[in-house]
Amino acid sequence: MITRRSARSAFIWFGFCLAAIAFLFFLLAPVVVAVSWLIFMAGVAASFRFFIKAHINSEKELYSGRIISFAKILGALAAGYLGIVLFLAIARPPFVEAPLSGYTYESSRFFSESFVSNYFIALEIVGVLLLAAIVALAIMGRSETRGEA
Amino acid sequence: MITLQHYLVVSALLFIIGLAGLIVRRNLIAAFMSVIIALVAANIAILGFSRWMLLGSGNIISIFVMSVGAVVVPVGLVLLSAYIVKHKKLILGE
Repeated sequence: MITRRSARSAFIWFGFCLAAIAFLFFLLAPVVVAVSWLIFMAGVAASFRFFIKAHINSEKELYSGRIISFAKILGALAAGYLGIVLFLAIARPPFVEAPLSGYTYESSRFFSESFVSNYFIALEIVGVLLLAAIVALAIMGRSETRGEA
Repeated sequence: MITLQHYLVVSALLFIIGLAGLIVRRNLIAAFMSVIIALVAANIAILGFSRWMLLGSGNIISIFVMSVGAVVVPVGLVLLSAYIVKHKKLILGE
């Protein structure tokens, strides 16, 4: 991703990377968390896609060849290792056997009860942060539209 | 068998890639993508530790990090958009 010359090409590799990581989340995290992350990654990819389509035509970048080679080697190593881990995670059972049912740390009941008990303040703070972000986005988008006009 | 170390190595590699992209790339969109990759890498480590220790806290923290990420992405894109409108370019340092 970091060696692509155009942002469009980088976005394609970015999408592949997110897809592989989403698959890893399904192997590693509870289903609730994994599905949440999948939705988040889909939203991120869609946002970048629309942004690139709206703003980029043909941008060129300049950087040294030495860094490109280093980054390509690093990327190949990471992709290979991620592939091995995914293959082993599918072929072999996980390193901790997840409980199948009942009230466990992976159940939806645990999440709901945690959100309204131990993590209630954090949940409220995140809610306020999201609201502030929505308001900020509306204000910035409005001023930007005025600037274009 | 997959152990915690495997997930931590994947996380470290992804974080290094994200950091390298943030440092190397001059295209703002690609640099922003690298930030997202680093964010996801940190979450892989959190979830790995959570599963290794059989604690649910890591999963809750992961959801909170995702919420913050959901804030960061649109705000960052709007800021990038404002930068493009103002400077008529997307590459730093020119």
